[in-house]
Amino acid sequence: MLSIMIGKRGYWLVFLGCIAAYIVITLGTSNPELAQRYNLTATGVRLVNLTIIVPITAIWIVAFYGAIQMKEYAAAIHGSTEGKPFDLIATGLVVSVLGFPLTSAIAAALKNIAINTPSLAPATTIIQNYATLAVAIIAFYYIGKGAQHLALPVKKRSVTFDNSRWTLAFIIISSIFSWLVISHYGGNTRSLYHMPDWLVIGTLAIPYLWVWYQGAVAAYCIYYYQKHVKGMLYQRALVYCSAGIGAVIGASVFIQFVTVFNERLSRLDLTPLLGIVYILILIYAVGYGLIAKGAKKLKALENI
Amino acid sequence: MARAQNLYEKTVDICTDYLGPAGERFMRRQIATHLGKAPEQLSRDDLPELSNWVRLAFAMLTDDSRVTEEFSSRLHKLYKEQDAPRRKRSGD
Repeated sequence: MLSIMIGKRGYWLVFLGCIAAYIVITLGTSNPELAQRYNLTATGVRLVNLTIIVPITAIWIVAFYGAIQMKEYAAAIHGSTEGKPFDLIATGLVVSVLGFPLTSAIAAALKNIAINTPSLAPATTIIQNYATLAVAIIAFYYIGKGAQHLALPVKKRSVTFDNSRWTLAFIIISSIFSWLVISHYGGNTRSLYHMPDWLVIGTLAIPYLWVWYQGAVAAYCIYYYQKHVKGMLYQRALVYCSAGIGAVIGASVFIQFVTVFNERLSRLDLTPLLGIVYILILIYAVGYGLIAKGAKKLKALENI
Repeated sequence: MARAQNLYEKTVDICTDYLGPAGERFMRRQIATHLGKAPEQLSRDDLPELSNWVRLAFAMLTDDSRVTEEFSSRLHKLYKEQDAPRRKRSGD
């Protein structure tokens, strides 16, 4: 329904509008803290920002292209058994990718407010944290639901749907993440979240763990489905999608771990700090690049 | 009792091994677009032409020429298999 109302061009307009807002606000916001810490001029800060904005914008565009390809593929197979699951996955991808420039534009605007009115900094941080989380929850609710629906017919046929291998890994990651948030080992997380620990665990850490779980299950379900379905070219396309979703979840985990270590990382020089940002951008590039490639291959099966 | 497959269903079966659930839609499109027929009207004599079109389509879907060749040869084998009962009937 939403697709019919907005349409492909509408999606692109909203997406590019969000990117434009993000670029204008980010480049228009002075960052005296960054300038002072790294001894940069205002132009230097803008140039550093540009070295991040340019690659990240390129990745968002590739990611959005992939999400739209998936949406079109889902429309092409509408009415078939796989139509609904792929539509749910595509909706999740569109929300996820639209959320990047949208939450980044909101974050940049909130940062602007915080710089001009420091007393509002805790409120702006809290809003930014929850806005990013909300997008992730909505996106991975759809992606997880779609992937599980997709795998349902093959799960029924087979008794080998065993996810115990990565359940242990997930428990370990969850425990370490929760411990890092509570113990302040990576730095004082109170200045990071501006909330008491119990609220951070209950309303940020646990929801993020749910998002990662949904994402991991989605990647596994798509992988499992392709293993048990006929069609070697179809399987190859699905492997890209599964690996891509896995990489995107990996990037999300990486971001949250880096965020917990924010205080320690802020003591680093600019070069290693930018190195971490570029690693993150690279993981996202690989993830969304694989999803886009898989979606393009799936769509080609229906176009020729 | 299991119903005997018609020729179209046999081609879909082969195609499904490569394109999965997209196989039937793919075959239906190829027959309608290039042969101008309803899938159920597919006859043995259409198979060589269909094989040529499918070979072209597969070349656009994959760089793996072995897959294209294998698919094409399976259609050719089906063409020959379809000939056998006719020969038997005519006493060749």
